[in-house]
Amino acid sequence: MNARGIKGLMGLVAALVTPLVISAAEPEAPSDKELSEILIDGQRPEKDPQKVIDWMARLVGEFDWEGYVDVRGKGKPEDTKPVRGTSNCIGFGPAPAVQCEIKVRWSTVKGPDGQEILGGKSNLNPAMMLYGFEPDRFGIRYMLVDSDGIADGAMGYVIGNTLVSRTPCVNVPGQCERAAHITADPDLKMIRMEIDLEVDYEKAVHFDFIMNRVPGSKSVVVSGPKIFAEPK
Amino acid sequence: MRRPFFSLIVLSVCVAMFPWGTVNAQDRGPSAEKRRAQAAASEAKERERVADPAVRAAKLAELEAFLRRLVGRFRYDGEVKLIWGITGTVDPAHGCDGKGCYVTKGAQGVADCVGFGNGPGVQCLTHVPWPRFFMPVSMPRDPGEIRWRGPYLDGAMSLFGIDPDQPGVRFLLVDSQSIAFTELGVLEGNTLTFETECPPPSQHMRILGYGAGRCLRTFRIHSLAEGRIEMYYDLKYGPELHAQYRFVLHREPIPPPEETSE
Repeated sequence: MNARGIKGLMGLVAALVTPLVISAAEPEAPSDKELSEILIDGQRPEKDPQKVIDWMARLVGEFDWEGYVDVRGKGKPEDTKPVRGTSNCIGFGPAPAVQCEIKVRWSTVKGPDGQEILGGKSNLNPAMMLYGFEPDRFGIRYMLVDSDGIADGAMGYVIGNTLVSRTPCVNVPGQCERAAHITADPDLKMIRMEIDLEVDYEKAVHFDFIMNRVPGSKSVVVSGPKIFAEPK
Repeated sequence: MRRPFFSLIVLSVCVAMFPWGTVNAQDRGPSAEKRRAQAAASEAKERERVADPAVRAAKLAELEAFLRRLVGRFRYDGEVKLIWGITGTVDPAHGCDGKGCYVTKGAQGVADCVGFGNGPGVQCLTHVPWPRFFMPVSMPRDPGEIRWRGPYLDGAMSLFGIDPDQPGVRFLLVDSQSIAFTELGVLEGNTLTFETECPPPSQHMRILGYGAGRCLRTFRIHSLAEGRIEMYYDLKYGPELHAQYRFVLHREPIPPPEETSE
């Protein structure tokens, strides 16, 4: 084979192999069947990655928390405890992804015999939360690890201005599901986080957290080299 | 001098053109249905065992102890390996071991892992400047950069916590590209193993003979009591290794906070 033939063959190899080697796993669009249970008001989950990422960036900043925990989920005033706290969420990476340190407390509520009840004691003082983009499903994966070291993760989909997720509860006996709605409007003033724990198909606890952006708090985005010393 | 490599390329083309369906049928292993049934049976057995309160308490204590070992400042030292071609040829000069051709690069970095709260929750910031990969040989056309297929650790955050229901360790890593990787880890001895199926290979990859088997991502943390930690990441399609990293984490002393002078 002459030099020209070899060159042609190598060109063919490059054309065949290069895109193959470079190509990453292709994202799969979420099917309507998988998401049917979380469609709300006829709106569909956002499938534009940029819009999902834009939503995630709204979480960055410092926040003062208020709101309440309804420890029986029935809306009775005697079961409702106000919450207070703060969180500091930093962005990192190009999206950015978001990492939050949370310190939120409410007064402890116990059962009639003094026993611990679900949601009766703050497990968010402190807690950590991490949010990242899920390219295979055009969603946001997030995980909260509470002050007891218990991890609670979910895959959420952005619908309008709300991240919606529904997952089995962790560390709760019985048939329990955790439905969470996190709403972050584009005006960046506040974030609302509503979480229902549904035990045996009944709402057992309702968390309604309002996170008000601290005046002057900006979205802070850091990257690796800025927060670490370079290795020696 | 060019001749052995030319043979390799010709072989690559032949391999790429070969009808892989038959060849790789065995590599795929048991059918998806059979695998699911096996996994479900194994999980049910394990759940039954762990339902014993004493076994469960011991397992949770083991998990807590393991996570607490991850707290500290670490220096990362290791290597990252990425496939660039597929061939049966053994050609060490081009990183070809008879199964595939790989580029391997060293990587070093640091991580700070902090514990928080009353429990064993751990949060880590990792910065390992990530190597870039290019085709190791000159091609008539510029082949461009080969993309790493896994988490980039040059500014990644990760969070570890316990899942008492399994029981196991839940792990969410968000890499420097803001991409989330999450898994449930199972602890056996001193090794925590996270194994997840990843998206199947693209049609393009399959036509060329790459990635005929199922995609499996395995992340392992091996923690020894004396403070040495090893981390392994493998991305495989069936038996084919596509991406890998290996790191040894050396514990570093954390300097005391600087005193402020009056």
